[in-house]
Amino acid sequence: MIPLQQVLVLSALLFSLGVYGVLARRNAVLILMSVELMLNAVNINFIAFAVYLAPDKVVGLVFAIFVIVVAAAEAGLALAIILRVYRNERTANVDEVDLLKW
Amino acid sequence: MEVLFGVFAALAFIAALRLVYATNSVQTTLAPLIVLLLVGLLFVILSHEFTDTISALHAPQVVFYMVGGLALAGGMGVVFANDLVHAALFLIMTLLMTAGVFVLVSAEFLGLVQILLYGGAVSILIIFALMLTRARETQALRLNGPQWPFALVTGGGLGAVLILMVARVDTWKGLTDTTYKTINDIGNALFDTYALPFEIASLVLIVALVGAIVIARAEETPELPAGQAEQR
Repeated sequence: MIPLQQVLVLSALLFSLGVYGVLARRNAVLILMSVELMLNAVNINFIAFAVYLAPDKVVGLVFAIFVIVVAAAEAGLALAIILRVYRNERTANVDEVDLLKW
Repeated sequence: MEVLFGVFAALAFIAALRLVYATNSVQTTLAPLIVLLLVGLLFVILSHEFTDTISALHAPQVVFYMVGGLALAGGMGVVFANDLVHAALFLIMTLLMTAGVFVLVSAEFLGLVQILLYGGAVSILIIFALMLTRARETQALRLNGPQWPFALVTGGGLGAVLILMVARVDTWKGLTDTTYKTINDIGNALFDTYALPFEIASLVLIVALVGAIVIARAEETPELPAGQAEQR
């Protein structure tokens, strides 16, 4: 008997926390963690709408599964790139990776 | 009603912000938790005054406040912690609490998938990356950039807009006792209606796997062929 608005408020707060984390944090792994936070907030939103407004359809739950799959794949790839950059530049700080700047 | 919830959450946010910026790790880990649990308790007590959306205090609602409060505390720990490994552990707490939210809205299979994938695989991956990029040697000053006030305005503004949008709608109904989709229905849908996205998702996973191995592979030194080594 949880009102839908409260689940959506939770999702909105988690998403805005993730946005702050992506913009303010300077370590690459921390930015990735904030992106995972945003993806989880979006999943809560999807599943809340799927269960409350269309409980006879399964499309919301299936979409949330695909979001989890793509988020896991993207986390693996992003961490591989961070490792490569760390091996070459000896830093994981995104402010210090400025080779393409003029 | 929900605007009040947002206001309480914003006050807890500001209080935890001030507390979490301390360099003491005990304050970093415990302060947002305690603040949010207290705010949740306060909201639970005050919600007896407003009887238009909830008529009585049900057990699932109290559990949702606690689980949601811990998820928000974990989120705040991720973006405000001064230590990288603390932030990773806070992320694990947030991921497990969102699995709890999924179970509370009767999507149990998604909750289990969340625990398996996020709590079991993505968290380990992130901690491995922290280990391989020497996270322990990074000082706290280099974790936050100088543009954090603008980030605060952006994140806070986005959250405020979303909460106001949610609070203006009155026509949504609550969770009723209908039959929800189970793992049977999800499995049938994945092989029947959504078979093509399912196959494409497996292709995405294979490409990500191969790509991650190729990108993160160690550099190979050039070797002489076996024939040339024996001719000397």
